[in-house]
Amino acid sequence: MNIIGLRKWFYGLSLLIILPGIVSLVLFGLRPSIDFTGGTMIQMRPENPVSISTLRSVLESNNLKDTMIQQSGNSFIIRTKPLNIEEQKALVSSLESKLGKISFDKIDMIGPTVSAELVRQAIILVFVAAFLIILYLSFRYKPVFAICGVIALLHDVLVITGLFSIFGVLFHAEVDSLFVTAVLSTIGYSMHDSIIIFDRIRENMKFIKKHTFEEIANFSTLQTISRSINTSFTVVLVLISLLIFGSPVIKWFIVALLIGIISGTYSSIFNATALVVDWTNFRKKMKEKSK
Amino acid sequence: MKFRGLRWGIILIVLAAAIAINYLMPLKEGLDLQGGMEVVLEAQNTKNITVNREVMQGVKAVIENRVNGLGVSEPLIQLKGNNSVLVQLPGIKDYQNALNVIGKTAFLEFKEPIYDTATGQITGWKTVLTGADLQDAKVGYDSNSKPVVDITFNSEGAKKFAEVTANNINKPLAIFLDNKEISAPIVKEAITGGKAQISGNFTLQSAKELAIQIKAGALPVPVKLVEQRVVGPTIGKDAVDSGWKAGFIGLLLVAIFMVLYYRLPGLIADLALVLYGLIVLAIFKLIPVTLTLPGIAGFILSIGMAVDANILIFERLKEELRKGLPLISAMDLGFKRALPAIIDSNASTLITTAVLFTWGSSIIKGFAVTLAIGVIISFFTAVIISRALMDLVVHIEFFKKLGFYGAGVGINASITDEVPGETGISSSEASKPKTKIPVSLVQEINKDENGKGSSEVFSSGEREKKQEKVSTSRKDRKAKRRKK
Repeated sequence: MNIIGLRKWFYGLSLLIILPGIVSLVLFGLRPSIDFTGGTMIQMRPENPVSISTLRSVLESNNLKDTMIQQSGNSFIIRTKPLNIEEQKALVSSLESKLGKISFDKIDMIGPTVSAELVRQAIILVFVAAFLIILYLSFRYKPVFAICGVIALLHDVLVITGLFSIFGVLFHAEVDSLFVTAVLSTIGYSMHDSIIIFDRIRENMKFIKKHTFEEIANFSTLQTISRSINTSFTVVLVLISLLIFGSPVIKWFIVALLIGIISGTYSSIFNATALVVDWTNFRKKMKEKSK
Repeated sequence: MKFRGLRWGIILIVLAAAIAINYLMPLKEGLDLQGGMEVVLEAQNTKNITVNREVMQGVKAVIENRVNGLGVSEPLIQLKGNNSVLVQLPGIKDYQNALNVIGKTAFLEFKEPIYDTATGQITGWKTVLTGADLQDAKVGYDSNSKPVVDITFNSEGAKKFAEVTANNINKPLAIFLDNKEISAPIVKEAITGGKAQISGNFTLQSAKELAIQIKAGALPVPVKLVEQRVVGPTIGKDAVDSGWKAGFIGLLLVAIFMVLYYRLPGLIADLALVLYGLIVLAIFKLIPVTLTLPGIAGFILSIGMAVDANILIFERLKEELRKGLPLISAMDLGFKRALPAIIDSNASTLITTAVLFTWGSSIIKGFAVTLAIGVIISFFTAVIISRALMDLVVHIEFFKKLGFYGAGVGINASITDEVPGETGISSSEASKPKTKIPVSLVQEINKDENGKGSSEVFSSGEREKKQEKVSTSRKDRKAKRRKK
């Protein structure tokens, strides 16, 4: 089996997933949750059947014009501007007086300053984590490994955000602070995966007299592939059961983690090492030319 | 093996402690699991007061007093940043009233009228007493059974109040809350007992709220709600139940997979995993880590990842076995060779969790903590507990049959071959019925499998039996390998 030899195909497959995602990102972006935009989100279950239009009229009587209402069964999700204590109290009491008894499952409010802070925080988090991992890898391996590992990381981040942009258009999936957590976990996991292969390559470099670097990279990949696939498989098993049996509250978080783990495994096996090989071959060519 | 006794000693002590802690201590559940409310209030500057640390301490103290009036079992009130207070009220159901009680400035003033001497008209009000002069406030009822707030002045306040009422007989005395007039009763006589009644348009609920606020004192500055999270009680309960159920099912699948693919070592890994779960839970209770929904996800994910260290080791073990090494030295080498990869990869995960923990918000912190604890403990269980168990097993005559180690399963890629033998990824599942096999049956199956595929590849364990009795021979072999 020559995995590294087939690398062009694997690059192609990656692009096949990433490109639609990038297109969707450019056209539609991501759907930010109130974590990032600020606002109030109310999830409620009225005891009596209520129509969206009735609900909307109650909201409008409270001067809440631009509200988004989502209905699933007899559960409603209302998104509106950030409400202060008085406004919230007025809204809740008018809802209860006009619609009867209501159980409120969630009332979340994020003020504009907090949400701006969160956006900043999310961006910083991703960069700091990536930077620290590069530093660590450059220290333990050659910098070229670190760079290719990070390119594989970017691949994973693009896959997640791209797919979530598409999910946002199709299923109203929102990006919240948990999504950022999922992206960061993916970064950690993907690096973890690349390291296992890099570690093997480092160990197999003793055969460099007998084999080309490409062959060694391929052997190393083959020797570690069972481990990579099995580990991901066990994590995926756990995540899928969380998705099926777990709370719907963290459904999208689990989906993001699933995509991240699968993408992270793929990119480590088929992209990171392949890129190191391409880089090494390129350097060789340059050397020969200069001679 | 050096320190064998010491190693088992450590393992047993850790396990005994873990079991004891799990038995004695409860697990702290976060807000999203037990339901309740979390709010962040930001203090606002006023014309006279600029918010600083001292002001914030005052705000916190007042809010603490008010929360005590609500009767929540385990509230949490802490300062956040330079100008905010975080308030957590687990299990509270009446969110709106709680918000009202906590968030109102509740600056209470008693004001006497200022008259225009020419016309006798009231032109303004002059503050004569404030909430600071009060000792107590309770809900009461007036003669028409309407809710009112009964107040008691402290000794200083009682003196002042007697003086003010004596000066203002047959005149109104207004009561202002947060600069809004709530009532202006006419003074009939001088009140010397240090008691008074605030009547307004109160419902029982609003009278209660005001009583709590007055008793707790006014906030030194107004506060603004900047963040709020409310989780209904049913949502939280569903989340916990489904979270644990999902985790259990997922891990059961992982356990079955490990036994199918790695045979005996897989079974050992499963045992180590159970112990891992015990230890991690004990640590959560000890710290204590407040478990949130993402936290549970992090914990379950960490178990999935904890298998990774074992997988790395077992894959190495198989490789060494395929090279024809005898079992015991193959195992030693397997552990040794897998270690650097395990350390490096765990380090990268820990870097991520450290970043999440340092800069993340509370929900993210929970995920980071559980994942980090998981990674550290998984290292311990894989490198120490699995190892100890494996050492135990490979020295038992019955378990020396190579079929127990399933070396034939998976990809054989030895670098000395020009073209690696392509077995493809064939887990042993193909040759077995697809039903889920309870763990107890596995040994039976392995017996049937013995001699199939895997053990034909190797020289039988003859060599090894001679050698494992003499411990030095292992070193000799290693030395020989180095010469190669």
